[in-house]
Parts: sequence; C-alpha cells; structure tokens
Amino acid sequence: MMAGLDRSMVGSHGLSVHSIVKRYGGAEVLGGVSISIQPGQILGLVGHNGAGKSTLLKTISGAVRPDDGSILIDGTKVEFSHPADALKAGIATVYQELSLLGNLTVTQNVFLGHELTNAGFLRLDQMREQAKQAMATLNLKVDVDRLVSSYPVAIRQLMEIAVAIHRDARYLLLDEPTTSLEGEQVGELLDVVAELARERNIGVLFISHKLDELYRISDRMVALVDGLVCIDSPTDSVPREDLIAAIAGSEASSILDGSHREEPARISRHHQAAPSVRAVHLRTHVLEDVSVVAYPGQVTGIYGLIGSGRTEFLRALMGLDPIVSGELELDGNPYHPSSPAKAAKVGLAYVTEDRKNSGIVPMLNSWYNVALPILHRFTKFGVLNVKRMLANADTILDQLRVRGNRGVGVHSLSGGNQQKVVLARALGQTPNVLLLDEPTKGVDIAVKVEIHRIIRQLAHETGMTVILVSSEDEEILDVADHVCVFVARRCSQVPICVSELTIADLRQAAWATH
Amino acid sequence: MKKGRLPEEVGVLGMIVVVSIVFSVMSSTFRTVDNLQILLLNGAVIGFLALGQTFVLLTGGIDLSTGSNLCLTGMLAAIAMYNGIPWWGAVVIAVAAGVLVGVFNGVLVHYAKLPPFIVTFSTFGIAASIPKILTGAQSVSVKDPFFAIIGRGSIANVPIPVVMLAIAVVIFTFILRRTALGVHIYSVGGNAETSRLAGISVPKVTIVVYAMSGLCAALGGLITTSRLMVGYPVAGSGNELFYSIASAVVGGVSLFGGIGTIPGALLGSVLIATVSNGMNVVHVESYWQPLVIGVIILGGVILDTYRRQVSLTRLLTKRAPGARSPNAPPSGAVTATEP
Repeated sequence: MMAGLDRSMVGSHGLSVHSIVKRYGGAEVLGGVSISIQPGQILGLVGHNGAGKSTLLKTISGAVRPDDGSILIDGTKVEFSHPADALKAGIATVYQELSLLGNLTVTQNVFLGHELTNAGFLRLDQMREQAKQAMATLNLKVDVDRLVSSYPVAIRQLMEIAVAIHRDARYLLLDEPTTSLEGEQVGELLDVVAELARERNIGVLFISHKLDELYRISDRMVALVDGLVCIDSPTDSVPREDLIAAIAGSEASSILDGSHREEPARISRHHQAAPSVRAVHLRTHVLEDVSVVAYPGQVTGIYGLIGSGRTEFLRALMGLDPIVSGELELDGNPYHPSSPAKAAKVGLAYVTEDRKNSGIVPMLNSWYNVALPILHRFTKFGVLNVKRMLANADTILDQLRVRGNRGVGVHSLSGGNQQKVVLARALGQTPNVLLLDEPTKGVDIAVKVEIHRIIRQLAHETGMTVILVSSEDEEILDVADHVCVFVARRCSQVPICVSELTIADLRQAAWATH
Repeated sequence: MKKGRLPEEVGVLGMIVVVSIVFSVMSSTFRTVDNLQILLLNGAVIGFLALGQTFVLLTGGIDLSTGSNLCLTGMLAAIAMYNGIPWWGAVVIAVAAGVLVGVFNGVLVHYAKLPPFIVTFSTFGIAASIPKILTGAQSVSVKDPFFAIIGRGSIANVPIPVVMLAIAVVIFTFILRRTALGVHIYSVGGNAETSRLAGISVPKVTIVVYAMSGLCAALGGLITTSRLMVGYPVAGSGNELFYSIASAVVGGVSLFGGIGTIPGALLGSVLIATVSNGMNVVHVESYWQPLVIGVIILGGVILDTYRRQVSLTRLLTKRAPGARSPNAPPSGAVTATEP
C-alpha cells in the first residue's frame, strides 16, 4: 500500500502510461510499456521498424484501446474510447499523414468540428482572430483566409501542429513530423517544438527515426525494442553508440548465427558476371544519392528504415518516378526508364508492397490476374485464345502451388495465395530483373517459407536478377545474397555479403548517421 | 476562400458577356427587355435545381432525381388545389414532399451505404411515376388566381421566380459561408473520414444536402405549375436535370466534391439559360441545344480536372508524403463520396 502510494506521488505530475499491453491477433506489439511525459519536457521515442512506437502513440491519443494497462494524467486514471476524448483531456496528436483539409481555409481547419457560433451563425471575426493567434504562436505568417492547399507541405506540417495545440493542449504527440520536410524546414520545426515545450510548458512526445533530431531537442530518450522499454534516461546520459546498440539489439545476433543458412559458396558463384542493374548517384524527388549494383543469378537485398527510400528506388527503376540526375545501366547499356510499360518491355517486373491497391484486380479470377500483362501473347487478330491463356496461367500457378479456387475472384483467396498470384503475374512476364517490395507482407509463416524458396530458386537456378526490398531482418539474411542498406534516402556503400552479417550489424547499418 | 474562387466566377461572367454580345449582334429580338424577362424566367427553374444540385455536389454526391422531383411536387400542388385545398396548403404539401424525397435519398446514401448515383437514379424513376399513376397521366389544371402569382407575377418588372431565386441565392450563400453547417458540407466533400474524426456528424450533413436539393426541386415544381397553371405529368423530364448539373459544373462546382460556390452555380445557370434562350431566338433547332451545352459541360469538367492535376503535381514536387503515387487518379486524394 505504501509503495503504491509512493509511486503515485512520483507520477502524480504529468502524463504517464503504466504497463500498456497491446496485441494484434495474438502478436504482442506492446508488452507492458510504462513511460511518463512531464509538462515542458520533450520525450524522444525511438525504435526499429515494428518496435511498437506508433501503436504506443495511438494508445495515448485514444485511436487504439490497450488490452491492458492504464493512462494517468496528474495521477488521475483516464480512459479514452475515441481520439476526441484524449483531445478533451488536453492531448493533441499530429499523425504522420497530413490531415488538414486542403479545400478549406486555415481558419476553417482550425475550428473544424467545434466552430464558434452565435445562434447558429459563425462568429467569423472571432474565429479569424483566434486562428491568427494560433498561427502566430508558431511564428507562422500565413493568411488565415486562404485555402490550406495553397501552402507548401512544410508550412502545412507546422499548421498541423498549430491546429493541434490551439485548444489549450497540454501534451503534444508527434509521429515523425519531419519525414516530409527537408534541410532548413526540419530545423525550423524542431525550434518550434522546443519553444512550445519551453515557453508554453507543453509536454511533447516526439517519435523519430533520425537520431540527430532526437539528440538535438529531446530532454529524455526512450528506446522501444520489440514492444518493451529498453532505455529510459536523460538524453545527455545516453551515448549514441549505446542507443544504436540497444535499438539494433546486439543480443539478437545470437538468434541467427548463420548455421542454418545455405552454404556461403553460392555467393561468389556469379560474382564474376557483369552487373545487370547498376545505379550510380541516382537522384529522384525523394532519393538523394543512391548507388546500387545487382548481379544476375543473385538476390540483392535492399534494407533500411521505413522512409529511407527503398520503395522509391524500385519506383525509379520502373519509370514511376522521374530521375533527376545520376546514371542507370541495364546489362551495361544506359537505361532511361520513362514508364512501367517500357520498363516491362526491357524485362523488368515489379511486385509492389501494396497488394490491395496495386497488386491484384480483386474481381478478376486468378488466371486473368496472372495473364493480365501478357494477354497479347495469346491474342491472334485481336481474338484471345482463352484455352492457351488458361493453360499458361495454370502452369505458373502450379509452379507456385497456388491453392484455392482459381476460377473465382482472387479477393476470395487467402492473403498468402493472393500474394502468390501477384508473384505469378510477375513471373508470367518472364522478366530478367524481378523487383520485389515486401513480398511476404501479411502472409503466414508456411507461405513465407515457400515464397523465400521460390525467390532463391529464381535467382540461383534461372539466373534472374532479383532485387528484394524488405524491412524484415530475417528475410534479408535468409533470402538475399548480398545487401545494400539505405540510410536517409542514400545508399553508397559496396553491397555487403549477407554471410558476414548478423541482425545487429544490419540494424546498426540502418541507424548509422553520416 | 473568397480569394481563391473569384477568378473562376469572373471567367463565367466573362463568358456570359461574350455570349450575350454575340446573340445581340445576331438578333435584335435578343436585346429586348421582353426577351430578358423570358430568359430570366426560364433560367429561374434551372437556377433553383442548380443551387440544390450544388449542395449535393459539394459533399461529393450527385442528385439525379431533381427533375422527377420537380414534376412530382408540381403535380402534387395541382392535385391538392384541384381537390379544394387552398394555394398555400398546396405550397406546403409540395415543399414537404420535395424535402421528403431528399431526406429519403440522403438516408439511403448514408445508412444503406449505397452510391448516390444509384440511390438518386432509383428515386428518379420512382418520383417520375407517382404523378402519372395518381392522375392516369392526365394533366391537372389549376384555377386559384393567387397561385398564379408565384410563376406569373412580377415586382417592378422583375418576375417573382427571379426574385425568389435571388432571395434563395442570398440565404444559401449565407448558409455555406457563415454557418458551421456550411463549413461541414465543404469538409465532408473534402474528406469524409477526417471530418468524422473532427467530430462532424456526416449523416446529418448528407441528409441536409439532399433535403436542400429536394426543397429546390419543389420550388422549381411550384414555379413550373404556376406558370402554366397546369400540373403537367411530364414536366421536368426534359433537359432540367441535365441543365442543373451543367450549370453547377460550368459555375466551378467540382464533381469530386469540396469545391464550389452558390454564386458560381448561379452564374453557371445564367450562362446555360442565355445560351439556350439565344439559340431559340436565332432559330437554331432546339435539338442542337443539348449538344452545345454538352460541349460546355465537357469544357467545365476538363478545366476542373486540369486544376486538380496542376495542384497535385505541385504537391508532388514539394514531396507530399500522401502523394506517393502520381499515377493514382487525381480524384483519389480528394474524393470523399460518402458511400
């Protein structure tokens, strides 16, 4: 009893969460997390992909209900069933995606859902004044009568914070607020956040992948590893190396000692061959400086934190994002991708990470989904030879052991089989270069193992060049022959042979700052 | 909001001026005060339907039942008076019926999660049939002289329907600009999910906009019946629906929701009415009119789409995180059709 009282005395000030547990379908994302945020303090929250940062934030913002644990404000237990409840309690949140409405004015956005009215009529002058004040607290010089869409992203990001805190927020939760900003804008945002904490005594939870930012503004640093707090100390007392080691989980290296992987001999087998894809100092509107080589007969892994430019590299190869500068070569010849159709013509096939939106055509059956890009092969004088098409699609589907009824809409298949259908379509195009973005996302373990086997077979037995983007450490180490690590939209180092790597090495490389 | 929209409305105004000058040169009849009265009178019904349509379009929906609703309400008024109900009672019945059709649309769109196109397409058929069933497809004549004032009267040479439309424009503009409801209509059209999270009642907004469209259709129906002093079972089955959508779109109201103004829709309907009237006056066969107006709609929609693409590319070059896929249809980012 005494102990309990003591603890509540300590935690009576500020916002704190105790032993928060959150499970998604059996998997524990948060395994009993306790943190506290004091007014005027900036708490940096850091962790690897999938460590549970965003889930923790959503729990505090009321968007997600924890399975266990409690949230306390100034020692009083609170429960949020809706984001509006958290807002009422003084907790404002800015999520990663911009959420202001572009077709409304700044003032209208500030007051959306709680307009000031007088007998049903808007008190425009008063709202305008308050909106101006809200913008002024962040030193934003914007015309509050203009549409939000007329301002650039950097300003909108700051507006978002202004809108979030204008209703006397005492706590501000920021989920990677700097991802869409560059250079100076990042500095400005950090200054604004620091000022809010200092001058308005607002407690801030700041999630970021960028250690520089966290060291610059946070007072205290919390590191999450696999849903557990592993560091919670004043920022000054946490050496950068220790932090990286903690996030990367040095003990994780013992899990995978490489013994169950295939013999390393395979790696050098095709090494003498000329690279089939070579990118030198590639820049797009996202990528800043990317150099990558991929060889035929090998799986080249692309690893990095979310937002490090992995997907954008594949998009550039497919001609989806225009290349600003740098060189691209395909089998030794200069390559200027301008559209996915042209990329397909020179032998590239692409499996996107977003199966639902850009992978399958849900209403079409498996055969048509597979044959879609190669229908012309079965067409004579404009007439489709359905029999030949079905036979061809069946062959590929059999190879990949797709189960379930192939004659019905592919949306009725399991996620794993849908993913195989997407893979089958890419293979149907008989590509020389296969680009895979998170090919085992949301599939069960058995299918995952199968897909891994297929990918390795494709590269090692048919000599295909496979570029595999994955955020899963094990996937990279198990499937890839060598790996390129993307850091902050850049990649420059020579591909590393995976047989020399541990999970900890991989993660350390991803968190490296230059 | 004012600053962003003004140029486009000026554009429509400019087109009205140009079209008027062209017709004035081509025909001396076009320039007369009498013709201006006819033009405005014809334009008033289209105008009302366009205003109602604007409310629905702003939320990303569409109301295809507006022409049929006009017929239904006009006929109900005539039938009511035929059965001895006084003119004001008939007006109340017509307005209530019109609003009810709108509420019916709104409820189905929101709660049954059906696409607005399908819901209002169905009520389009239902509302068109009821008057024919009630009267055996006969027209019903109206005798009440007071009722005639609605469509035939005038104040200082300005026809009453035009006065009514002017009052409606003022009130509706006020609602959209000066009430929370107005802001919520724009926000639901901009992004229904964001609006819901901001605590806005999306069902209320959805039902209100369709009810407004129903109200406007009823006023159009009353004007139509009053002008002819006959309830006509095929009224509103011509180009009314087509012209109402055309007016709104040409006036800068986006078919994707979230963008547009009442004055814009009004100017759009004036343009459509001017083109229609001018072609009559210069004796162009009437079947040419939908063709010309179809071309005008295409122009308006292309402009609208182009406007969105321009802003999308601008966002992309600024590294919008939400704009990762430039090949997604431009509407994807902004449409918020409440299913």
